[in-house]
Amino acid sequence: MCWCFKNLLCILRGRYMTQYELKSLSLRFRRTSSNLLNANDDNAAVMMQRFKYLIDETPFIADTLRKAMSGKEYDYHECFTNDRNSWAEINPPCDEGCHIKAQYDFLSEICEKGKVFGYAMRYRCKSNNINDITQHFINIAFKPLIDYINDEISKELILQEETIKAQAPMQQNIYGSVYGSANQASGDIHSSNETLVNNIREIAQLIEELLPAIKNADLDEDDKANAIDDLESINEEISKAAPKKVRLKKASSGICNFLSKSASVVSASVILAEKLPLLIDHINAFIATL
Amino acid sequence: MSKTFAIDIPCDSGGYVRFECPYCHSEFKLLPDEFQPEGASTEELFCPYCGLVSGSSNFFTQDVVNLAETIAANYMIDELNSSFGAMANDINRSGNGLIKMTYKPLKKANTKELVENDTVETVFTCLCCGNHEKVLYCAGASKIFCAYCGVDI
Repeated sequence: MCWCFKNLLCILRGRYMTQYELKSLSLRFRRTSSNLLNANDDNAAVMMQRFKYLIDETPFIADTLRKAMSGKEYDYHECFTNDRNSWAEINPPCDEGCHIKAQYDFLSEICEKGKVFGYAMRYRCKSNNINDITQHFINIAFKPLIDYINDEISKELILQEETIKAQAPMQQNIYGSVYGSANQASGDIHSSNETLVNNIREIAQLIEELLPAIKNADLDEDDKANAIDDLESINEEISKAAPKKVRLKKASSGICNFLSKSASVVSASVILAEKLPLLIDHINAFIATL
Repeated sequence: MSKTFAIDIPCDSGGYVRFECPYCHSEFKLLPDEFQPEGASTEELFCPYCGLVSGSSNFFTQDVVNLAETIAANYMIDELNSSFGAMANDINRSGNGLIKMTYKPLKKANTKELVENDTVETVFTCLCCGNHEKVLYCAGASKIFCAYCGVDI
């Protein structure tokens, strides 16, 4: 059964919970059950009532337990034996559903009678301390029920998280810009991207090296200003999510013109002579992908 | 009369100290600076695996508890030995040879130094409180809870 259909059923039954609600319930349940497990003789009855109230009044837990116990005919006295002449014992049945039912029925009986220590003292405990006896009894009698509910809440949370992950749009975090498209289907990613991350990095690096070289070169001030302007506009375009081809072409041709004055440029700087042709090549390769 | 002992609990190469859940007995690791911020100890902890909560002193590992018990027992033996030693000296000095007391001093138990090894746990940071924990984690098969605030990570 797919998750969406399951959710629809849950909504119809009135037990659908959002992830936030499930997380809150998980925390509340763990707190309440921990309080029960750590209860002393004074507050054990209250803690047990609170625990019972929580599992009865929370639709998700009540529904989970109802499902686990449905169709099970089991007398809890078989699990929690009480022979008056010897220590009481716990003989859990093999069937988990029967065990859940036995624990729930036993819990209901204790909550009705309200004397936790009366039950606790029937079970053998290493300690003679009243609180230790109470905690030992609660632990051996109801810990499996607590674990079962806890696991069911966690399972539901995991299921929701996995579904959310599967439905979430893919996000790529790559330095620089990514051009192309990404398709995700059935959990597999078929990527048709042509990432030009390295190309962009190299252009940016070349511009960084060329700018001071041009500024310091012994050339016509107007030519230098035009070249710097072209480099800056290239830098600006490559850092954009959607670079404009026309602007890049225009800037590239400006750099070409600057390079065409090769004689004076070579004499001006070795860096310019080496790096400018390289930059033009990279820009042309970049433009070709747009 | 109360006596306080300090026990040094070793940490692994990442600076994490081992703890053990009193309910499910699973082990996990926490940073001492976060467990004892500015010397004050965290009052209660959640188990990262089962998520149940208890007083932080219940989360010490069995090794630490055994060491604490051994140190306390050794202290008690020291006190008994010195009391009986003083008593024997008094009686033997003032008894004029008529009464003589001998006693066999109790032997102290060996204290085993705690060691911590590096294991394959994964470090998690809680988005809610920002604290760290090192746990064994199987993605998609289990939930991990923050040991300090109890929210699932």
